[in-house]
Amino acid sequence: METDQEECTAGVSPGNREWEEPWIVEHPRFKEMMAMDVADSAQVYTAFLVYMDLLEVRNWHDVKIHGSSELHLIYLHGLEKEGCIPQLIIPTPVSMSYSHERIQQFMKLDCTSDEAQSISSILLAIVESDSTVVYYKLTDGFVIPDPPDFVEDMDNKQWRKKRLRHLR
Amino acid sequence: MLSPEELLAARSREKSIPQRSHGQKDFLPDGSEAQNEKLRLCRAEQWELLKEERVERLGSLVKGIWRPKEDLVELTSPAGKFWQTMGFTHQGKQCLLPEEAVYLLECGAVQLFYHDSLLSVQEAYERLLGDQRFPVLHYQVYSHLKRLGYIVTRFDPSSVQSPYQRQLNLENSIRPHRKRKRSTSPGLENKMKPDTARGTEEEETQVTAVPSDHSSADKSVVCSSALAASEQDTSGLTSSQLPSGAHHDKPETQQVLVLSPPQDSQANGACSDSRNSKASEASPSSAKPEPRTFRWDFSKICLPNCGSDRPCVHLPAPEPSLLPGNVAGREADISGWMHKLNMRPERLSRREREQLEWERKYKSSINSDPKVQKCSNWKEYKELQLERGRSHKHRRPAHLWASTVTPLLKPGPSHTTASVLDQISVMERSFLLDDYESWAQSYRKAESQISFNVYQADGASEFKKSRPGKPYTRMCVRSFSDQVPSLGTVKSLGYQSKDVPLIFALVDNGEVAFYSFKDFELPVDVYP
Amino acid sequence: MILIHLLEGKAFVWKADDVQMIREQHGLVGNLVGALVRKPRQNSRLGLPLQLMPEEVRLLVEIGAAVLVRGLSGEGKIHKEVALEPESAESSPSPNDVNDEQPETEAYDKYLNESYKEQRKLALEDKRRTLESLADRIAEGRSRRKRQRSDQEDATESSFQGPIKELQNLEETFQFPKEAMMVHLPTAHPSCGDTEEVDMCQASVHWPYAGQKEHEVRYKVFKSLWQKGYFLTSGSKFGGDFLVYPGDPMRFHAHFIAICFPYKEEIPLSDIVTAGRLGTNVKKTVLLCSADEGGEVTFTSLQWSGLQ
Repeated sequence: METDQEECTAGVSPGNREWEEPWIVEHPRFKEMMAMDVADSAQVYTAFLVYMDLLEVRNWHDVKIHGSSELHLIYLHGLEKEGCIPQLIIPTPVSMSYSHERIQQFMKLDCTSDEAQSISSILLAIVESDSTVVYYKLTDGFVIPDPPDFVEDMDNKQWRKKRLRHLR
Repeated sequence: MLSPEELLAARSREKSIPQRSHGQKDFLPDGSEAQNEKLRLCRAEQWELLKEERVERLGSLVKGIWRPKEDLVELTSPAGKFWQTMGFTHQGKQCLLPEEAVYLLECGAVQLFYHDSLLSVQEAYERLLGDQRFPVLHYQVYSHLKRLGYIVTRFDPSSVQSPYQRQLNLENSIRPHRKRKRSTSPGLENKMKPDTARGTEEEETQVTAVPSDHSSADKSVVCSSALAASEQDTSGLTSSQLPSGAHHDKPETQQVLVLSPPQDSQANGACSDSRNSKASEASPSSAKPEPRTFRWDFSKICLPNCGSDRPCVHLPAPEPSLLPGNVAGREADISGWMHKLNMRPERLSRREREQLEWERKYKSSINSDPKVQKCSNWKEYKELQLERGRSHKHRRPAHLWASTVTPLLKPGPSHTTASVLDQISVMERSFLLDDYESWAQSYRKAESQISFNVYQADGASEFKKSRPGKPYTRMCVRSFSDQVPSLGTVKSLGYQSKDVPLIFALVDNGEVAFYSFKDFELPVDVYP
Repeated sequence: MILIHLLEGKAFVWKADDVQMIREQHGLVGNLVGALVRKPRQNSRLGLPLQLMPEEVRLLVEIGAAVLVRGLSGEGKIHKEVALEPESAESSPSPNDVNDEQPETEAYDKYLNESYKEQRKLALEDKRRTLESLADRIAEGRSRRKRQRSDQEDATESSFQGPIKELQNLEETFQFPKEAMMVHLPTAHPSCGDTEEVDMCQASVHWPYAGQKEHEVRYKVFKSLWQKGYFLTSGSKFGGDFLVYPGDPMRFHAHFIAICFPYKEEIPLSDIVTAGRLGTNVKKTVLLCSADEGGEVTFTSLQWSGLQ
């Protein structure tokens, strides 16, 4: 039921086969992902784009491809820099919807494949229709934000601005 | 109730509110004594403020009696300064609306009585406000605006003209005087003192508000009449059929603009021709001015070209008959100063160079066309154009042009990028107030209503209850949990408010936030 | 017991002591929505009443700290007043019929007169005290001046006699016009009679939240965060359900923007991106909060990763 939805709402619509460019279809990694046969082609394509983005644009290390047949998903593992903690990346088209339950399931993926980590978190790699990728970090529980840099300064200004903007 | 001692003691109470001067907020509680102390101080200050009760001099309080059946508060002592902007007279008595009474009670300006007992603020809320009378939500917006110093009145839909009234052009008959004045001497009115302006129909607030409104309206007239003119060329649509309200408002200005081309058609002839050919395929000859007979035959008069490209150094003697009697002409050889001509190198700005570069790429001068070069006058040129136009039509291949689907662009020299983009645009641009009538069909009763007129109360405004003038803005009150209003609602409310901006006041758990919908014009950056 | 008054489905607390208790004992914030007594014409600091979110109300009632009541004097009776014959419908505390010609403030006027007498007496004593201390000082000053220039008895001297003279026949001459007396405009209703307790488990016009799916999720999340010691306010300013503070909002910035979803409901990713964007801009973590049917609450923090 979910695959149907993915098919038609994916960033790259199935009708538009432009992504079946020979170089992608022929790419060994793409073939590898397809061969896993866990996810529909739109998700595989998304996963491939993210894979390329991480490797070629962001120079990540040790990016590995995984598949989850339960979640119908290709996901990735990689290091942002050498020596960093490995991160789990869930590639997804922007048009998708996920329940909180499913997001929690994504986080459990990590625990099973890796040795116990103190916090479980994932990177959601959201692929826009123009194939740009934005990354959001999802962490189980509470993550306190960074403290504001110039508390004093910012606060004063914002407060004043707010007062000025009372009505408009 | 407070004891007499407490009441008297309140006279010497602190009058200013303490500045929250316990330093910036902290990021994380660390359980430190310093943090706790700051919090304790803040809280103590807060509770002190909240525990203060309203204590006022009897002499400065206005008495009012709540009359639930009439839904008003009747004043039994003369109203105070607030009477300038609040209250109304009912059967010869000074009265307040429920929201006004509650607000003034909160400000410590009135005492409200009901059934021989003094109403507490709480009772006033419970008795005077509520769904049946004046919704609490509305009161929260009302009091928020009042506390900021605005003058707020209930919105009366009948005070705004109906579309029908507007169609009948009633507004013009209401305000012709002022309009005429403005158009004759702009700027004069701004300097006029209120007493001299009183002769006009409106309060000064409105008069001062007019210039901006007027000038923007003028602008729209310029656009729409230009549009009307071009449309007249193509489809014969008359300007009176345009639904734009601006048209009906300003007949004088529009006339001037529409009439202007014929008045100096000599000078504008070429220009209007070019517009014609741009707007349609209309044959240029239709607008061609009548050929005139001249005293001179220009084909016989030789005007030497002394430019660097075609040096002509020998200038023959001018025809004596063309010269005044006392002047003698002679031949001349200008080779001597040829080298002094066209010496100055052209210095172009970057922009001009780019323009030139662009023209070189995309434009071909009609002068380089040998057939055009052969034309010795306009008449010949236009005949050539006509001829070419005809033959173009003949040359159009049938398989492209004969079927129902034809190419988007007709071959011709007059296309600009913008006009092509215009043609292929799928959706037309629309504005918030466009096309209200068709929306009104489906949204006859808007789900929400405009609640308030809001006026500024600064020195510049001269609000009077009897002549409030044009509001600064109008408010539509909604709860934060309500749905975002539909486009239909926004349109119909906006149309109802007309030229006064409409703001949505959203109340969330007593907190008021203001939002508005505005037309946004995307910048267009194509080469024209 | 804290009294929470319902008016048009909105909950108000009218007593400052209750507000203090709600904040200090129960760690709940609410929102002040009335004019501040000391400075009514401004919006940066507001006064009573305190408006509570439905979740705050429910929590206070469930922990047994407050009672939710509805005044019968106002909204409820309007129908009756209009529908029935006017006289009989009005349940006035004094049974006499209201006559337009008569002053309707008889009882109050009586109270006022008594208060006036008291106030005059107090003001008189006050005046006497000030005059006495003034007279002492004048006498002191005069003797000093006499020592300095004993020969000159200057004319201004006589004016200094004023307070002393005034003091002598203060009783007769003391001016305390009635206009000068101070009167109290109470904030809260002095007695809590004429109210009816509202059953929060029963959805009604007055309490429409009972059984609402959205309210149920919000309440479970609210309670869970409150139990963890957080302070919460409404989060609509930042496009969420609640703003979550690590301590009293008076002294701390919010850390989280809590957005509530039913656990199994699908959330469009575009909404998650929007929320994350906003959170990043205001340096707060977006907290996705869900409650399942069993009442278990799940929290997931959402942050922009910083990868660009």
